[in-house]
Amino acid sequence: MAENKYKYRIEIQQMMLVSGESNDPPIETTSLIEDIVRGQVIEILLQSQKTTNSRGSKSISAEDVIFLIRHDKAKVNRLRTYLSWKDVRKNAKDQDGNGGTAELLENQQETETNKKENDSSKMLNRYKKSKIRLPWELQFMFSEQHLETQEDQENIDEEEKAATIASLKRLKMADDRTRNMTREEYVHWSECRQASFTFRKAKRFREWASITQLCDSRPNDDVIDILGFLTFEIVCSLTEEAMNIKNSENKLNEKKEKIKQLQQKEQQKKRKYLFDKPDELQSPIMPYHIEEAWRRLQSTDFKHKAARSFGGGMVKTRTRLI
Amino acid sequence: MNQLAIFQFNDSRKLFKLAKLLNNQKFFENFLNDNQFNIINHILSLDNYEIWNQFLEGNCFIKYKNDKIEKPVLENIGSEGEETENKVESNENDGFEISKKLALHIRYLLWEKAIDFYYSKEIDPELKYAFEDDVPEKIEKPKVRELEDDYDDEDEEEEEKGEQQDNNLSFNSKNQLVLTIPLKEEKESEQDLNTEFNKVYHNFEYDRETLIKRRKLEQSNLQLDTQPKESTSSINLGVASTSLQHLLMTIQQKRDEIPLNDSELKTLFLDVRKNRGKWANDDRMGQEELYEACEKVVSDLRNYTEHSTFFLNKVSKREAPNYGLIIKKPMDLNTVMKKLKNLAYNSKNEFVDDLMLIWSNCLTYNADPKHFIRAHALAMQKKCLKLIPTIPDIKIKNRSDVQEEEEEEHVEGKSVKGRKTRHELKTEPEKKIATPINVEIIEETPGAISEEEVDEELKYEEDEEDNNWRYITSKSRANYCEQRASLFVHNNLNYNAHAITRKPSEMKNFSHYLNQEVVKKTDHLLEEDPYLIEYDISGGIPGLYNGISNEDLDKIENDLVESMLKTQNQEHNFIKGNNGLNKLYLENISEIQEIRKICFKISLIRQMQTQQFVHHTQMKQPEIPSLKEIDSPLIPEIQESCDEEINFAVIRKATSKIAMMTGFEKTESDAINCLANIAEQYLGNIAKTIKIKTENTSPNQLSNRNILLSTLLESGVTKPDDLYTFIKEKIIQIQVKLKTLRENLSNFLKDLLRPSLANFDEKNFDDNSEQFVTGDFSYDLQEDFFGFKELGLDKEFNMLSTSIPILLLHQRNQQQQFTKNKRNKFQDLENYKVLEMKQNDPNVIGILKPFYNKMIERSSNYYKKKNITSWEYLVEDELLPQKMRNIRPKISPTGKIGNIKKKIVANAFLLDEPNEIKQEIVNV
Repeated sequence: MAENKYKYRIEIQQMMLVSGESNDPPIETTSLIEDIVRGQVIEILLQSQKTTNSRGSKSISAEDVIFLIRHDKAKVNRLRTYLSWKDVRKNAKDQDGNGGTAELLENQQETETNKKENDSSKMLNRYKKSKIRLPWELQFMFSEQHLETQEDQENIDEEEKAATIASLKRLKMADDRTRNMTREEYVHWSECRQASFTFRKAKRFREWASITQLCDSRPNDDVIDILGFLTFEIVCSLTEEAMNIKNSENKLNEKKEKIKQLQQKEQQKKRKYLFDKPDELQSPIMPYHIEEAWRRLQSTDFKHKAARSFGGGMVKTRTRLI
Repeated sequence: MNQLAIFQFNDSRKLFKLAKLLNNQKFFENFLNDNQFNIINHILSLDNYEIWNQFLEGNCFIKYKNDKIEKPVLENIGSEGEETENKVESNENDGFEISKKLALHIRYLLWEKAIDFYYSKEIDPELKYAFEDDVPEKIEKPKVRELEDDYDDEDEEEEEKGEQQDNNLSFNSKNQLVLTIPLKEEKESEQDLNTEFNKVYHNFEYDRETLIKRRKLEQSNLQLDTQPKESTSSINLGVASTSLQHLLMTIQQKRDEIPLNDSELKTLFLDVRKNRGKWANDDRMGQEELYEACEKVVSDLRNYTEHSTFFLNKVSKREAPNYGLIIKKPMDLNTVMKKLKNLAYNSKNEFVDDLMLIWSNCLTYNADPKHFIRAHALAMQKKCLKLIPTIPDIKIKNRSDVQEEEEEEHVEGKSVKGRKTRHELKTEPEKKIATPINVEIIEETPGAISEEEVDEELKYEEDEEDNNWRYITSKSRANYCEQRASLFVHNNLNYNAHAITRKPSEMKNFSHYLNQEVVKKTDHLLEEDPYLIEYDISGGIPGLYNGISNEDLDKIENDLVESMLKTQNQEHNFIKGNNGLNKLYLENISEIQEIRKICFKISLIRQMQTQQFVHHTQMKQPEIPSLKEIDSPLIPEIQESCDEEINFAVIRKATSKIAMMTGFEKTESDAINCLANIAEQYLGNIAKTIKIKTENTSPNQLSNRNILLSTLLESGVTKPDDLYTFIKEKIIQIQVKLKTLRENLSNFLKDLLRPSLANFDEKNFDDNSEQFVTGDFSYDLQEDFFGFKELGLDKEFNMLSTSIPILLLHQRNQQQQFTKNKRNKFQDLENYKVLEMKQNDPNVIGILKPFYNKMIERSSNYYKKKNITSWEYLVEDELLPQKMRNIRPKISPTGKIGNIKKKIVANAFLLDEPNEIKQEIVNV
């Protein structure tokens, strides 16, 4: 059973690599992450089920899930692009017949030949119309909507530029990470980017997250895709936070070491032997790092309890979605 | 630093200095009892170091020098050597013991208790001086000491005696310094006691006792009163007084002429002789003074309920069967009172004898020294002795005797002096008499007072203060108790009892008490009750509000007016105003409203496209009232006082604005109230956090900026930038979005309208719509059809309303279908050519000829009327004005023919030539 419980070790490892952890994390870490991710997925499902019910329908729609993360505009934006690309991919698949999706996704990152770029931009033009609109946008406040024109599309894109800045930052970070990579490494890295909890293993995911037990009706593929995207994000943010923690820990240790060294200066330095441990051992992210990262990401900020101040009593909080 | 040196070296000179200073600060008064303080005060006031030294060494004998002869016990000590040696010695020992004890006590006080005084506040400059002056005196001091020591060593007693004589010091046989200390008058100390007793809290344990005793006294008082008096009515008109003799005589002579009745006259006389009391009697000289004093003494004694209860009434046989055997001359206070009233006493002597008799009777009867009544008797005796000196020594003489004397004096040739001299003459011999009385008493008391009784007496003396308090307050305490007792019935509350009410005077008393002022009671002991804080239930309740004086009121009003005038000149940006986000919000809201209107139009068009028929109620634009900032004109005044209700209303308004801007244009008032409450709480929290932070007493104070930042953080604003981004994203950007949205929607509407307006021609004018008159139709096209906008008239005439030309729209949709159909139907039809009708047209069928002829005639008449010369068409019914048309009886769908309508003549149509018609009928 225990072996069966953790099914996503490889995926998580890949995702961690993408977000900067270059060492092989121990099994404990990955399984801890997996547990956390599953908890988050369950939380997402429960909460979105709630909104769905209050909306008066039974099956969770994509909007219900997005609604939960609506405040994180950058994430919403990424999700949007992800979904629109998914659309593109779908249509392209229908057209081309063969699975060119991976290629397309890669195209986004890798420098491609002009010809291909043109291709993709054409496709973009063609399919970007199916841009996802969210029901809490301003225009839906009114009973009538005007027909969308190309102009509008552009306008809105401009408006949400601010949100895209964050995603640009992410890209920059990814760029920095891949800068010193060899070709092989880069290929590996870009393959890792495709790691997903759900892609082509929706059934496994359903079982893993026990969706059938949690939801009234089977959520559609879009929702599963979104969940896949979100799980990726969760793992990434967890690893990043853990990396930060690890770095600061290392800094502290270094300081300690320095002081120790100063004290032990008189002692002669040991001779190095062949089978000694390497001097600087890059340690992987340990479970306690993840735990600390989890704690930090869960800490309630003042925003969520300001209204209760001076009121006394315990402020009950739900698990926060990362 | 060397302050302690004084105490270490036991430097008595310094100590003397200190002691004097402390005495000035009334230090000893607080720690010593009266007697001890007396001694110390005396020693210090003598300002003699030698005495002080001797005293501190415990080498001192204290002797009392009595000004008061009446103090028997002390007299004994003071009577130098006249008494037996034995007694003197015992007393000497006493005095020595006292002084020793006192010296120890004083040392203790100086060493221990005065520490507070040494270190309290900033050390008094004088005290400092006392401490610091050590150095120069130290040089001198040893000398003095040595000298003294030398004297002591060498010359011993002889020299000492010499010195003593110089210093007026006297040593007794045991080489003890004899101190004579003048006794203070008891009266003074009593007053002191009065000043003190307000500072002590007394408990209620003796209340019951006092109450009972009081009751007894009152009973006996009643007895006294009920006894038939030889009332003061003896002061009759008939009894002539010397001063008014002649007046009275004349009055009596002319009694009939005086309109007053007897009693009135009597009161008049009493008024005239105001200073005369009830004892006044002209026949008996000096009676008034004596009796008044005597009465006071007796009543004082009677009121001394602590001890007086047993002596109020005669001892009954039931109480003491053998009393009559032992006591030959029974006496009690009531009897004395009665005798007073019966004017049985002729001198102070007689009166005092009677009083003394009471106590001695008691003492002789109750021979057992431990009997409790003895203590009472002794106390009463003491009290009595205290009071007796207040009685003037007057012997009452009969007027006749005096007059005889006067005559004798007159005869002797001496000048007639006023009454004063007479009194003087009288009082002199009586003073001589006074001493023997005292002797008598002294004779009595030493025998009576055994040593044990002295102890008893001492017991009373020791808590003299308490005694005094009990004596003075006994009456009022009893009253209080009675009052309180009346509130209860059988250990339950008495519901019918009168409530204890507070009188203004009591409040005054309380404030006096707070100010540590003595409420003077000793003077009017009989008239007023002393104030007792312990019994004052309602004490300390603040005084009644007396209202505002007119001046204050005017001042307040003026201030109000001024402040109002000030604020009126200022702009009130409290509630109203377009500052801050208010303006943006309002703009956004109106934008939203506009968009809603456009949306309605669009939806209406959509509806019309899909549905055949649209009910006109659906066409009605739902009225959206534009927001107005209406504030009552009272606002500036209200602004002053931050009324809770108003403030809540303001918050409510603000929250509802926010709600409107976020899309909830209509909300339940409860929901808004709820939101407003939340907002109120949140804002209150912010204020609270700021308050807490500013009132922080910790050493690291935050700067104002930091206070604000941390408050924002705790209120959920992590960084101040968040506020900026909020405004930018949520308000300004939304405004932009709304504007573009509106533009887009109105374009969309235009597009919807365009196809009909494209083939826009005159026929569209057919429906009596006013849209075309006003040019409103052009609004949706955003064209200035009549150029009103250019002229700026649109606003002036308010013609170009934003109302959609719904009628037009409706018409248009129908017309589009109708006209097409029509055109298809009647396309091949040509206009009908009207035939010209002539008189006797051959084409006309013969039968119809007369009809047509008539028609032609009629129409020619008609046209003539209208001054039209050339006419072609006959006047047909349809062309005729309504009145002229043929009116056929209408048959209702049911087929019933109703009553034929009667035409009102005035309204009836009359043919132009009724005669012709008649002729025609005839012809036909």
